[in-house]
Amino acid sequence: MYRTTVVVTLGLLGGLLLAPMAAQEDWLQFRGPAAGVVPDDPQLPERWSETENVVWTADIPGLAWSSPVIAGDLVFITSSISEGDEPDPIKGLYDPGMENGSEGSANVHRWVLYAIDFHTGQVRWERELYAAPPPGKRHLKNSFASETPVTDGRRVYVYLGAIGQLAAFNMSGEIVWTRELEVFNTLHEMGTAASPILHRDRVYVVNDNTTHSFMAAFDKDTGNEVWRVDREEYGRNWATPFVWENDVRTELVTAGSEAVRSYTLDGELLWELRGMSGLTTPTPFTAHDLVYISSGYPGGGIRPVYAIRPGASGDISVFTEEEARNGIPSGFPGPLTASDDIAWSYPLLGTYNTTAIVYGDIFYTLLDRGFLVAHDAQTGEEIYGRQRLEIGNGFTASPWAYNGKVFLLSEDGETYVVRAGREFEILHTNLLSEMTLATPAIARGSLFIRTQSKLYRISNGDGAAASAGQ
Amino acid sequence: MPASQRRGVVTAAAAALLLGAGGTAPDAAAQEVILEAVGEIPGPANVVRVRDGVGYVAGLHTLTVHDLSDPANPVARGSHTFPEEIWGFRLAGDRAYVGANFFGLGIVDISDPDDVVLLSQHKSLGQTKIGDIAAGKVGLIDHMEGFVLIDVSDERAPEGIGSYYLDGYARDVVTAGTIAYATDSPSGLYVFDLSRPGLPEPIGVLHAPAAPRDIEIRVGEGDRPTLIVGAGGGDVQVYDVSDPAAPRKLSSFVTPGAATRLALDWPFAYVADTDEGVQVVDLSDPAAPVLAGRFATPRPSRDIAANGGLVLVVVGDGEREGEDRRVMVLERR
Repeated sequence: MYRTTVVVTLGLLGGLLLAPMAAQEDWLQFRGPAAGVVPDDPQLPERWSETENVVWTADIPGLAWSSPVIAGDLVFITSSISEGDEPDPIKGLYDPGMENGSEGSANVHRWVLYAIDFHTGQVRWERELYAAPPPGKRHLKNSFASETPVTDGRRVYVYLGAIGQLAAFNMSGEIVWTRELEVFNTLHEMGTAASPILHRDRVYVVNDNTTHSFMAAFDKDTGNEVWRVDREEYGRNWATPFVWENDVRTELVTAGSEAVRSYTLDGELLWELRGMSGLTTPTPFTAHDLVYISSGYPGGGIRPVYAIRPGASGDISVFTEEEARNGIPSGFPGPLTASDDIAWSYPLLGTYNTTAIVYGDIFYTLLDRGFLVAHDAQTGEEIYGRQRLEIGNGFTASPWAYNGKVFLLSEDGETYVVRAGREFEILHTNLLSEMTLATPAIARGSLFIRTQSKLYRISNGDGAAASAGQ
Repeated sequence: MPASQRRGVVTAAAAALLLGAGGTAPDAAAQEVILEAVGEIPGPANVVRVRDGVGYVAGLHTLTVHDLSDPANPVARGSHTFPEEIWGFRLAGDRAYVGANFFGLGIVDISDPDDVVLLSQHKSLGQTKIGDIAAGKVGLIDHMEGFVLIDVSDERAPEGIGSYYLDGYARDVVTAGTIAYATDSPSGLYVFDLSRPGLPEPIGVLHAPAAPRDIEIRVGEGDRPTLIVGAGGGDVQVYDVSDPAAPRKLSSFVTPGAATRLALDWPFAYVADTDEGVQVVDLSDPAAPVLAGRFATPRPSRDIAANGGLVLVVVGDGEREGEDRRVMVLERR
C-alpha cells in the first residue's frame, strides 16, 4: 500500500546527537505556532529537489490535501484512499463546468491516520477511521481529507467533515474517543476543509454548511461537547478558526463569508465584521498584536484584508452593506482604510486559498495566480505592488518563512524562494514535480512537504548531509 | 412534430399573459418585436451564433454548422469535435475562434460548411474560454492569464505574444477594428489596441464590480466601435466606448429574469433571460433602453444569437448540462 524510502540511516543518530538544539521543536497544528514563521536555523533547507537535501520520502496513498503535524518523533498525516480510480485533480483557477465541479464517488474509501517516524519515514502505525463510499461530494480540486489534524503531543485529534467524525488518538495509535458530528453539505457540494484547533482543554470545530452551521467546543479528554453556537453561514467557508491570545483577552476568531466573528472561549460573541467575499478560505492569524483576516474569492466585488486590533466589540464593519454587496469600483488593491478597531484594510487585496504571512514587519500576500505583494504589517502602507512569480502557476499552499527568506509553494510543486525585505527578489526555485496544495510543516531543522502522493522530509542537516555523502 | 404544429406566434401581449402579472409589457414607445418559433436544433447545445442564414452550435465538445435556409428545417452540416468542452467562440470571416477549455484556442476553418477543419491550436496556460481576432492577432480569455494575445499572422502556427492579468474571472472578448474589449467579472471592462506592438497593455479600463460577463459590440459609422452591450450581471448594460481610452457606462436595463447572455441585431438586444425566456430590448437610444418584445421559452433560456431576423435560443435546465439543451429557432415577424 505504501512504500517508505529511507534515504539515510548511517550517521543519523550521531547527527542528531551532534546537532544544536533546533529552534522550532514541534509543529502541532495547521501553519504551526506562528502562522508559518519559524526561527532561523541553519539546518532548515533553502534548496531542494526530489533528491537534493531529501532525508526521506514516504509514499502516502490516496488523495488528501491535509498538512502534516509533528509531535516528538511522530509525523501525523491523514488520507482518503479509494479502492477504485478517481479523477485527477486539476490545477489552477478555472470554471469547473457542470455541477460546479462537484465529484462524488461510488468507490469505497478508507479514511486513515498515519503516524510516520520522524527519523526514518517509516509508518509506525496507521488507523482507519472509516471505510465506505463517501457520503457526500467534493470539488474536483478538493479532497475528502483536507482538514489538518491537531496535536498536543499527548494525543492527536482528527476531524474529517467528509465523514462527520471527530476522533482522538494517543501517541500509540489507540483511540481515546470519537464523536459523530454528521455529514453536511457545503455550497455546490465542494466538500470541507476547515481544520480543528486545540486550546487548553478543548478542541474547537467550525462547520459552516448549507443546513446548520455551527462552532462547537469539545472536552479534549472525553470528547464531550462543552458548547455549541449556531452560525449564520451558508456553507461557503473553509477557514480554520484561530485562538487569538492578545493583551486584552483570549478569543476565538472565525472567518466567514457572511461575517468574521470573534467569540469568547465559551462561545459568546464578542464582535463581528461584515464585508467578506462570497467564499472564504484563508485562516486568521496574528502578528504585531493584530489579527489578520482575508477573503478573496476572485468573483467577489469585495476581496478584503483586515488587520484588527484587540479589544473590539459589537459590529466593527468598515464597508457599507451596499459596498459589500455590490463591490468596490477600484483597481487592485483598492484604497487603504482604517477605523478605531481596524488598523488597516484593503477592499481588494484578499486571497482565495492561500493565507498571508507576516515576516518581520512585512505582510506578504501570495495571490493565488502567482503574485507576491508586500505591505507594512502594522500600517498597511504598500512596500511593493504585485510582483509576478510565474504566469500560469497557481498557488494554494500558504507561505512560510525562515532564514530571511519567504517560501512560496506552487500547485506544480515548485517553491519560489524570495528574499525577505523591501525589495522583491526571487533567489531561486526548488521543484518537486507533483501537484501540491498542502501547506508544509517545519520541525527541528526539517521541512515537510506533502505532494499528491508523497511526504518529503527535507533538511540541510544530519540525515540529508549523510545522504549526500553516501 | 411537423414544423407547422410547432409554430406559434407569441406577441408581446400573449407573452405577458404567459409570464403572469409580474411581467412588464413592452414600452409603447419602442418598436414592437414579435418572435415566432419556427424550428428546432436538437442538443447538446451550450453556445450559439448565427450569421447569414447559417447557425453555429457548440454543444459540449462539438461545434456544428447548421444550414438555416429553411429555418423550420435546420440541416446539420459539418462539425468538429474538440477533446475538451467548448466554452465560447466567435466568428470572423471564414474562421471560428473557439475556446475549448484546457485544449486552448482552436482556429477553425468554416469556409466549407460541410468540412469544418481545425487549422491550429494555441494552448494558453489555463482554461481558455473564448477568442476573437483583430489586426492579425487573437485575443483570448483565460482564467489564469487573463487577456492573452496571440500572433496569428501564420494562422497555422499561432505564436503567443503575452498576456495581461485580470483580477477576477475573465469572461469574454470581442473585437472591432483594431480594438479588443475584454470583460472581467468583477473587475471591469478593459480595452486593448491590438495594432500596438509588444505585450498587451490596456489603453482604457473601467473598473466595474458588476461588469457583464457576456459582451457584444456595436460598430457605428466608419467602422468605429461605439457601444458595448453586455449581460451576465442580471441586467443589460450599455457602455459608450467611442473613446477607447475612457469607456463609460451609459445605462442599464433590468430584465424580469436573470439576463445571462445577449445578442445584438441593431437596434435590438436579444437577451437570454433564463426563466423569463427572451427579452428584446430596443437600444435606439442607448442611454434609455426600452423593452420591445418578449418570447416565453418552455425551459430557461441560456444563450442567444440573432442576425437578419433569425434568432437562435439555447433552452434547457441546469447551468451547462448540454445534453438536456436544444436550440429553438425563432423568426422575427
